[in-house]
Amino acid sequence: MAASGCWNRLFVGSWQEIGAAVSWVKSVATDLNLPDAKAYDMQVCVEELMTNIVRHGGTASEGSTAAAGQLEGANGPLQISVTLDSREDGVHMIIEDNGSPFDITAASHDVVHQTLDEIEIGGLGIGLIKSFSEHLHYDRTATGNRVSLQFIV
Amino acid sequence: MELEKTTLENGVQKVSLSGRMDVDGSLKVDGAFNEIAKASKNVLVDMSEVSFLASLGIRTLITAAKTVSNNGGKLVLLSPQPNVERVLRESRIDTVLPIIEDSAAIDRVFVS
Repeated sequence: MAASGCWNRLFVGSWQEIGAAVSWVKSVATDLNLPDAKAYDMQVCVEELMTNIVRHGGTASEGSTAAAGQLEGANGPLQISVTLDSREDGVHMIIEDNGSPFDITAASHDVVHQTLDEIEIGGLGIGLIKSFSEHLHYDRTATGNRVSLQFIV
Repeated sequence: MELEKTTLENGVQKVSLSGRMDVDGSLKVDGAFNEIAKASKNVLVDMSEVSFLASLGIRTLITAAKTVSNNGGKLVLLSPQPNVERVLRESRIDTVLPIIEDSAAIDRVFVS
């Protein structure tokens, strides 16, 4: 069982911030002494979730006064909040953004069933999230999207 | 993310990747990897020093593999680390990109 605790960090919605978020999740997993494979699962999921938000949740805006690379969400500059809550039943990851509506639980679960020539690149990230986490849940909030998932330790 | 290319005795191009194949890493090697793929028939990708792989990294591998396939060859992955191999198997990429665990299998996999 991992130690208890709750961590939260707010990231700018940009491609440049994805690496920072993954590094942060890795550092928390290290603090929690999580098994290497579990820490890896968490890094994959936060990378895929943030990639999805940046790719689909925001729009580039020339007039934005936000930091370089930051996209526009549905209600101002795109922002992504990542919370890691370590409890007795595992580590819960909650990712909230103010981007366009996107229910990840309803998205197609793509894995490769085709030959190499037939593979359409894209969509594999959602499949990885569903494979590497438990209890994936989506809520549309007043300001954006909220995805929660669990990593059983 | 770093990329190094060597030519093996059997003409196979060996691409050794090292680092994290995440958003930043994949974008960094995409261009060079594609150029190698365009000019190659058979490519062996040494994954032993890749510590992280996510979907954008898979995209890099698949794009290169398609290019090599169009050249009449194949792309094979060598010695992925356990967590990276889990990503390859969970996404079923291993069904289209063969994985070998050691260099001894190189001749067999590129002949068949």
